[in-house]
Amino acid sequence: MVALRNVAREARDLLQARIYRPAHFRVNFLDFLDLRTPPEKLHSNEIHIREAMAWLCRAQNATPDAGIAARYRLDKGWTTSYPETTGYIIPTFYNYAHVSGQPEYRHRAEQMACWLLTIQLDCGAFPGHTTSHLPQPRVFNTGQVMLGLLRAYRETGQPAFLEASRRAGDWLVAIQEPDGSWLKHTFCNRTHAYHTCVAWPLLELYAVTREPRYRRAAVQNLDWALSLQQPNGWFQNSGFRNDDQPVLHTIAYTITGLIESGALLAPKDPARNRYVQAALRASEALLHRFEIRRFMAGQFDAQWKSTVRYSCLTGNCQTAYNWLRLFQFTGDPRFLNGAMKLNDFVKSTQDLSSSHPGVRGGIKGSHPIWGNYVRFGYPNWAAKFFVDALMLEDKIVSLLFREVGIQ
Amino acid sequence: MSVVVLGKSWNAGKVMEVVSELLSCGVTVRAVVAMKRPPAIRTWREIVQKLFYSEKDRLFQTLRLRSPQPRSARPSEAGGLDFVSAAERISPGQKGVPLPEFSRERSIEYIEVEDLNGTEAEAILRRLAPQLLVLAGTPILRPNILAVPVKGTLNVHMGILPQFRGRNVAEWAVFLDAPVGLTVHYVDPGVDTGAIVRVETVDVSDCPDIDSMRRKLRTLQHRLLAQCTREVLDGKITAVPQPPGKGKQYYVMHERLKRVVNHKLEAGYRPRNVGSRSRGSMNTTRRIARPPKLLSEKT
Repeated sequence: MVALRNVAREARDLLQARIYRPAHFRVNFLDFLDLRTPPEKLHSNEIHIREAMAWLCRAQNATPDAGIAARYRLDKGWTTSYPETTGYIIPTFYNYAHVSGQPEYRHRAEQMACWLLTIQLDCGAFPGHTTSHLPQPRVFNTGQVMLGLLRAYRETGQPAFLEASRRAGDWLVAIQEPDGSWLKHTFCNRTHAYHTCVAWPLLELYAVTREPRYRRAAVQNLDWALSLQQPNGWFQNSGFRNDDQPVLHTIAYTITGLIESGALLAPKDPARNRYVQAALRASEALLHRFEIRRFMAGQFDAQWKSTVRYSCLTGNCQTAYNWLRLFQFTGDPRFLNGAMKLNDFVKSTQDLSSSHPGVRGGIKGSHPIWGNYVRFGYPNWAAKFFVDALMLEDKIVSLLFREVGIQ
Repeated sequence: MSVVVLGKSWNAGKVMEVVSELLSCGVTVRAVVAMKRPPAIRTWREIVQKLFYSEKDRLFQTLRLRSPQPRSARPSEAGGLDFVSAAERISPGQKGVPLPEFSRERSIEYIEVEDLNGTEAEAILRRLAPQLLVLAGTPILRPNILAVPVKGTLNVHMGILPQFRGRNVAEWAVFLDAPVGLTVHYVDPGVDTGAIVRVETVDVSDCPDIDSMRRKLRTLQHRLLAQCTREVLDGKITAVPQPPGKGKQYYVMHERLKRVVNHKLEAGYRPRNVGSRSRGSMNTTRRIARPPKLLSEKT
């Protein structure tokens, strides 16, 4: 009876995902058989990046404002703009503009930044969810928008971007809990280890303004996050909800916040080493699981075990990026090696030949597409993290080849 | 005092080489216990995957020759299953004398089992009661098997322990400008963590690429394993336990990184990171691992 119910539910979901459309059917069919591009047929990173950036441009064009549509959904098509991810996609567009030499991407990044200024709330925060929701201030989302605004300020020098970031930073400092966590205006009204990714933009803001309150608030949060780490590297509170198995996406955020915050502290600052070591412990656990299973699961429990059979592609890209950054810190080539394999896996799931603009070049939420994370959808942040990871891989490998004398 | 050799039936060449070297060192090989090949294709999904990836030729070979498949149907690396052809998996020895006949000619009992860690294998080994087990390419063995031989289980590792544990360690040593070598060690439940019997460095400056390096190491390793087996049986060796937490576990190397290794080998490889201070990061990567730049700086 339970099996019948499950089958009925799956059938309903597939119909809702408009599986009768050829492009949607193709995605589901290929995932059902787990048919991905073989390693020898993968293109260069440049091509995969180019297609992902083209998808992001289409996602931006699909909205009436300059924000980027949160995702392409198989059931409903393009959604409305998502301020949080638009914010942290800005640096990706600037980076790609530098790498590709195409000014269009700079222009788009500036459009995004200008649009974000128009939706900042009176309190200084930025709203959670997409623009189709009522605007409510959200801690994490505010932090991610700050990343984009600060980058836009560095690229353009426009003071409005810095001023908006400062207002956002002041709001974050004002509502922070005494122990360094954030509880008010958070997703599901709970503290999250992944708010290390809010500490990071506060440190970015400190780097620009040199106002110590931003640094203090950031370090307080990072130290609070360290108190959540178990001896095996696991972070409590690393999920969205009180999950037994948080999704890799949020685990990776936690690690990213520690790495990038560590990178912003002075090399002789002992806190820098503490944060990077904490990120290392968690990352080594993930690396080992990935290499042994030769598959990165989409969710993990506190013993780094997983019972799910899907991969969270966003989390994969974030983790690959984290590993590449850790390689830059430590020189441990196992992280570079693992990141390249993880990137290859995600590349193999990217459809470069679909006729559908919502599918072609996009990165699914899950592989297979009916996995638990952004089910039947292509989130814009997956494409962003994918581009970031591939660009960093190319940068590191080209340096490596040059060092050893490979043309 | 006898030994039993464990291996895989489809990796017969390696098993034969190990047995031959043991016999040439005067070691009595009581039996060879080999793992049977698993079925070639287990699900209709694997058939479709093979056809999709244009593996029709390999599919036919696989169906006829029953080459091994990975444990799960989930693709192992990016882009599908490990499509190593059956021809590649058949080692040279098998093209001549089959392993059962090879064993019989040398008055060595030959036994095939489904699972080297299973109860059937355990019962067989207890009946054989070897002094030592010698590994000729096996999966990781479980404690129930490792507990059988009186003197333990010996393996030869294609890298220098404790620094380089795991897979592709010869390649990783070259990547990290460290010495390449072989280690004979006792096997414990960990991955290459057992007590060390002997370490030997190998000069690979005459190897122009990874394949030739591995061929050289393969030739030397079985000889070294046999010599050490003889010495262990004669009580001439004291093994040194590995310090816990020392060294790192390495994994299969990505093809792009193998280019670096091949480039170094082509130029006549000589290690630069010599001695125990090699911590798994190389001079080159240390130069590349500059202090991370601020987010805002240009890529």
